[in-house]
Amino acid sequence: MKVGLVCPYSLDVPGGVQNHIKDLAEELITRGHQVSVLAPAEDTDELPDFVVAAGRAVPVPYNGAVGRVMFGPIASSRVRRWLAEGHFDVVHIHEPGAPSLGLLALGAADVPVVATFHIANPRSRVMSAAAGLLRPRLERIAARIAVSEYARETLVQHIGGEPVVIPNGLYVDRFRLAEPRPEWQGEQTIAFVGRLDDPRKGLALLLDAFASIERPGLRLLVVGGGDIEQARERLPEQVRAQVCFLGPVNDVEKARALASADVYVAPNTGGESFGIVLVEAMAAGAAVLASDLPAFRRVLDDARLGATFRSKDVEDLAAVLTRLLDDEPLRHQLSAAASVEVNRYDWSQVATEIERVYETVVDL
Amino acid sequence: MIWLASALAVVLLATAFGSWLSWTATRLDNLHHRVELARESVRRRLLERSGWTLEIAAAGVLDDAEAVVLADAAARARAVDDGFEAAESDLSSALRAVFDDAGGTGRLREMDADLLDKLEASSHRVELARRFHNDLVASARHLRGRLRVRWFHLTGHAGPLDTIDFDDVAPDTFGPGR
Repeated sequence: MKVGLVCPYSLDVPGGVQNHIKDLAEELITRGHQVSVLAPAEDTDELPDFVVAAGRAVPVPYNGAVGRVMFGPIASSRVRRWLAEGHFDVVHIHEPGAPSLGLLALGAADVPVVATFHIANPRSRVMSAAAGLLRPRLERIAARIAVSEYARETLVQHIGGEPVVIPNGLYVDRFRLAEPRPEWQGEQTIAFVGRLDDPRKGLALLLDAFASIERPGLRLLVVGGGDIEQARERLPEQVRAQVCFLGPVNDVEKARALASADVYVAPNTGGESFGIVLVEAMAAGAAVLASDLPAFRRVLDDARLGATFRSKDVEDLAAVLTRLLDDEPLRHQLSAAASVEVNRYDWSQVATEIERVYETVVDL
Repeated sequence: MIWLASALAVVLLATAFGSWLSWTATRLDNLHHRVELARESVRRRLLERSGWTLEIAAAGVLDDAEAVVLADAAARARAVDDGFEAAESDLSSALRAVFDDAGGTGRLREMDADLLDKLEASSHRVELARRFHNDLVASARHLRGRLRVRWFHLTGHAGPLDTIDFDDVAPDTFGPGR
């Protein structure tokens, strides 16, 4: 099958949507499909050969964060040319509501369009307003996929209908087989992944909680880009040596960091629709402790696959974290249950589900 | 001069309003057409599912009782036209009765994995096709509910828009998709 994937955000900026699209493209190619990804990027950027660069992205505030997106007449004509040259059987647009290439492709495509919605935000008035405006465009979509139950509810609330839920995928074995790094480990090790200066990722909460747990043997691994000095200054002098800032590492090192951890902590305060990094930590064998955001509670099947604490509550975070560190049987119980559940998210399954969606709409 | 300008403005407004109405009517017409196609696709997927069920029943892999249950449910589902939803729900529960305990699935996978894959895939495609159909119905209904559509009878002679609702839950033992 000839599949055209449309990515709304710059591929050189790491993010859940971008990673999902890159992995999906690779997986579909492995399965014998012809795949082309249209994404905002400069022609001079170093890109995988299945990516077609649509041009330079502009930073625009969208959904409470700054996204690097593309629109305007040049983007429009690039989209049309890509569609004309691709002769696709199906076009799969991600985040079609974002003011970017997806929306343009939706207007111009004359083949069946599949759309994946990543955003979850059921109470957003902005999204309701946008949904009303975009309705004639969104009507053209033949199949709608939501990446989580939470994203599905958002979609039903704003647009209605019966979207299918197909979660974000990951290559489970890349995490399951990752080797821990002894030099990163203490007597016990905690890991965090996320941008240091994005308040919604909640690093400050974790640092405060960590400082309040006085255990010299405990290590904290912090993976993610941002101002390391500024983050370190938040910590009291005596615990600074226990915290190891790894910076923005590559995927292999990230997997090894997760595999080195006894507990993975996701102190996010909002803005999450899925939480793929929770699944990554689960696959790497860490016990997961996450804030009680609806999206996270769904991934953790309430408390069966991981522990939760009250979002934004440093004291509760410290208390639950201590309990988890002291209770080895509980950690094992959680990670054993989680290691079975993660297979649900493996690309071997997720890509099959997406293929079936393609087959269903091509048949229409 | 003023009467000329006002007349021109009125004509322009009327034209704009008219094309807006006609654009809406085209949108609605397209949706109706796609609902038709989607409905046919659901029926086709259902025929595939009952077809594979009949083949499995006849393959001599399952025990006689299981084979009879499946063959009966599948044949009934293929026979009815009006009210096919009830018969298809029955077929879904017959499939679950046979395959939900891992026993039936396990035996079939050993004997004829290919046939089981076909049934699995077609069960999931039934669900997808039904959902995509209902998505379109939701869009079309929403548009039909707009004032301009109701006041100017843009729906024309198109019939009622019904969602297709039946139990299409596949047996737990059937791989991805839920």
